[in-house]
Amino acid sequence: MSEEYYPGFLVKDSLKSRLAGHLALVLLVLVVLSGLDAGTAYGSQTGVLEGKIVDIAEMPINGAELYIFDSTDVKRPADFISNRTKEDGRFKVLLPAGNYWAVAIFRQGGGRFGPLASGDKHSGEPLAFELKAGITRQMDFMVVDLQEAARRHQKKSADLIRVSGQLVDEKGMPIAQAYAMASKTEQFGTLPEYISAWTDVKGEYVLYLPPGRYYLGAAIGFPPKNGYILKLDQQFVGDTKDLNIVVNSKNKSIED
Amino acid sequence: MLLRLFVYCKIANRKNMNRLFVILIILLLPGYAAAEVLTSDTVWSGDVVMTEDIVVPAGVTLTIRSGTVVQVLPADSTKIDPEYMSHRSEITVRGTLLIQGKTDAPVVFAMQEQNYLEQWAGIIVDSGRVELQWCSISGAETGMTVLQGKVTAKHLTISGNRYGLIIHDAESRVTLNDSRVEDNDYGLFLFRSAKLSSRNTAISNNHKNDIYTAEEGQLALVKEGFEAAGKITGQVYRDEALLGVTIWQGRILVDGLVRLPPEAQLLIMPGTVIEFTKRDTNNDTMGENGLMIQGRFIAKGTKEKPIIFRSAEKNRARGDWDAINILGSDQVQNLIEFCQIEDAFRGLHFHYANVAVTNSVLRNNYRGAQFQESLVTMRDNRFYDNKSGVQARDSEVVFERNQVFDNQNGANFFRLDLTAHHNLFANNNQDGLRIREGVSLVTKNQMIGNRFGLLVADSTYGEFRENIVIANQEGGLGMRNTDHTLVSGNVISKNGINGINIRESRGTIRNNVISGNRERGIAVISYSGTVSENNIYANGLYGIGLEGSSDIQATTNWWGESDLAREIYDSHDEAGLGRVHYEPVSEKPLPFIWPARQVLSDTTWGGVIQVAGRITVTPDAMLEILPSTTVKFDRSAGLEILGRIVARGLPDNRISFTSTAGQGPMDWDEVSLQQAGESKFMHSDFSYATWGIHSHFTSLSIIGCRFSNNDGGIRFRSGPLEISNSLFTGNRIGIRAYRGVGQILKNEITGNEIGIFVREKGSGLAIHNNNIFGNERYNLRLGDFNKQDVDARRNWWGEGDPALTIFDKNEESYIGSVIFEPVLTERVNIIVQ
Repeated sequence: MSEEYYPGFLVKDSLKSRLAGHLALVLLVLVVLSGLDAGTAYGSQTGVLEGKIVDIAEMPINGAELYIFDSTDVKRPADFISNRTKEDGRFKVLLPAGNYWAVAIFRQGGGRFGPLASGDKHSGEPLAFELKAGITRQMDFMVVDLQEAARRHQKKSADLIRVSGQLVDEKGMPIAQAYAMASKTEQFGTLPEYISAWTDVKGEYVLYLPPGRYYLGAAIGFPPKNGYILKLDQQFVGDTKDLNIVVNSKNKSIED
Repeated sequence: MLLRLFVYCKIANRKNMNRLFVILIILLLPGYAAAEVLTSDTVWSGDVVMTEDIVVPAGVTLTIRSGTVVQVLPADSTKIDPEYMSHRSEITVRGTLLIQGKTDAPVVFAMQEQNYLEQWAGIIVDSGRVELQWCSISGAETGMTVLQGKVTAKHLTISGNRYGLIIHDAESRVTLNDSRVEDNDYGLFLFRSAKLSSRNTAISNNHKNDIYTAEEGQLALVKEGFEAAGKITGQVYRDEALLGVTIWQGRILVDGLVRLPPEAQLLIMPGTVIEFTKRDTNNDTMGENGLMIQGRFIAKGTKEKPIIFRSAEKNRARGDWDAINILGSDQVQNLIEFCQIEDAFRGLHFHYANVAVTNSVLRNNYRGAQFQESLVTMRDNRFYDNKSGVQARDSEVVFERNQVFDNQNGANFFRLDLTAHHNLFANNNQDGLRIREGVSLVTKNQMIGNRFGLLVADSTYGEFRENIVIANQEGGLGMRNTDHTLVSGNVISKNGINGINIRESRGTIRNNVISGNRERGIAVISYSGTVSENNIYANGLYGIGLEGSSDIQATTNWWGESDLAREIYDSHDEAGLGRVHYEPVSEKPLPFIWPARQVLSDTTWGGVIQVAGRITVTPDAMLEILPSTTVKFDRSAGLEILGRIVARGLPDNRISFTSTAGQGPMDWDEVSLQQAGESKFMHSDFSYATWGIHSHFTSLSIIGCRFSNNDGGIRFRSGPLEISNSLFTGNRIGIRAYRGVGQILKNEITGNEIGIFVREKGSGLAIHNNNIFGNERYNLRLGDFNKQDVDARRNWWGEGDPALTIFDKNEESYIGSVIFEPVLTERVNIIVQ
């Protein structure tokens, strides 16, 4: 890395002086405000990268930055960092001509260095680009909550909803070794369409159901005795928490 | 290229010529190369190209003639078939491997292309037999790994590998004569009391370590399974489909592949035993009978009546049957509960399924469970004695309170949305928990006695909090190519080489205890992130050892009492290395909340440990407490010692057991000892407890301790107990004995409500040379149930008549006497320090 100074937020080595960063930022702002061709002002071997940083709804992000690296190793301090975006989400950075990899980052806490915290946003895999001298290049970036994005990538039973709560006795105490049931009808044959795993000492159950109207109940013995009636009648349109079901332990029948 | 490979492949018998044609076809298919289980005796000679794995199963012999060159193609795949031991190319020997090199025509194993070090796994002897001479092995992750096998080698050269030779288990028999293990990163590793017999063999000039013998660190875990009920086989099923609703109960024999099509249901009643005959049509030694579920599968056993899936063979063996396959069944949750699944190739196998597995035992399978693209809850299960416990990819998984132990590999998760908490991963020969890609929340797990405790690779986001990573034989936590990773609140201690290994990663390592690891607390090749507010102390070589050229930020850590120059290995020690920026340092230990309720293996506490609840030291574990340690208990918190405790304070570096609140007696509960072996408290202070120490049936030494401002200092039953040179003051009761056997010698017992209270059967006590004075009600009181006399001669009782400070037969005629004469006329010179 050359020691030459560039108004793109040059981050040299690992010390990453905030003072130097602020100074660079001020200079960059001056360049933009003066309307000068950056390549001309700072020599013929520079180019400009500019663009917009938006969120997943394609709305401009206020307070994001572009981190620019001169290699594919992006798990290190950036070589250059853009100005922090304003309401319009726009950034503009002057760089030496060359090949780069860039990621956009939005930190809720406003910091500049280190790993992301929960809720921070990131543009994912670094985007490679070549910047030629005297050229202004346009690139836009979309940032998302990485954790959310990664989770979205995983398997989900998108068409099932999750109904959960506790199985409790008449006094509200959790019942272990019981299970919840759900059916489209109050009565069922051998088994209702949906049953949960055995509860643990916390009495917690989970049922996975397609959205709709169901009768719910719970039992201790398996399989449930003939003639059990599911009494809790409820419509489910989305994930539902804390739906407790009372298990009548005396006669092992099922009540809501 | 492919043609050249084909030309190089020379395989001897006609059957394999046919196979060669198949291999060619396979090679011509883009991106696909088949691994192979040899199904008959095979001979290799000339040039052989190994495109992927070779398994030599039991009963089969692979002979490699002199002069053969085995070239291995690099393949770092995500192979998931259970019969293979590594994700790299390997030769796994469960049968016999004969290598017949000659002095002028040795057999050579090497990577086909240079610079591919570690790209094949090497030769893995998995209960098989190897006889070899004049052979060299290079380019492997491990030249040869021996798992309970037998190897006899002459003129073997293992060089240019990451690890040369690894031997697991004392039952392995490995003999090397006239051989060399050199120029590897590591030469010889011995795990679990394994031994090597050698003559005229050099293990030297390896780059990092020639010989490494791992310390014993395995947990003794109970392998309790379920018992099958009933013996009469009811229904027999062959290759058939079950339609509608089928209910199984009693004994079921499966003599084929039973299918459950979509919309059909199979309900298995509690207490059912399902046995599978072995059918092996392709001679790969793996059984093929099993269940293929596309409908709804409910196997809901109970604790009293579990359901058992196992081999029907007389001598049941791993791999006798295939699996419970659940495919494309994600519109209802399938249930597998209180089931025992054994002798299978894959016990459970899901694709695109929604499954809950709870309270079940998966043992003696090639793989306990394997799934992908599924929604899976696994809770309260035990996976043991499998080649691999559980392997999963591309799924959403809740993994809680499971025990994964004594497998070759523990849990291997690839690209999961994973929530894993309160699990135990122990004694696995390779990895306890391995995570690659995906999003992981891994909290409050224990990884103990594995070769590697927790490995995280290629992950962009993950949280690893409050885990116990202790006594893993080679490494504790490994991070490679991870980003935005939070490692916080963990205990990473007593691991074989390094506590944490980091490479090409960024993250936050904060508020951990990293101590007592055999070489480095943290070994860093490349890391861009922070290491802050950790307690890093008492590691064998360094707290942080840099192996790369980049600087790292490691400020505000506490480094113990050690010299910082010793704790950090960086550019000051070796030119070309980066620098560890460690200032400012924390001058005092950083309070650390102990994250687990159970201490399962030998554990050491130092610094400031906060106890938030009741922590139990289990019967086989020892808790050692270092000098200068402060243990702070939250309200009602305490310690229960079922194993052993040794608190070895020093006169000038005392240990303190006190409360977080610091308000008064009964702030916290007690240190309870139950048959806690040879326990010791030396130069330790107890304050604000309900009882400082409460001991039953324990051989206990208490020396130089102070008990002040507790409701009670010590209460004990049985013993033997020795209390000496200690101070008891400001307590309601200083010492309480119940059927006690012990010596109370040279203590200062003053300023309590009652100095010593003997509730019952005090004849086993010897109370001598103490200063027992100035206690508010009694210096010594016998309880109403104590009928025996108590020997308390030669103590100093303060000014005045000792009898007036003693409650015994003189006050209640039906209780025993305190024999206190002769008394000492001068105060005993006792220095409690």
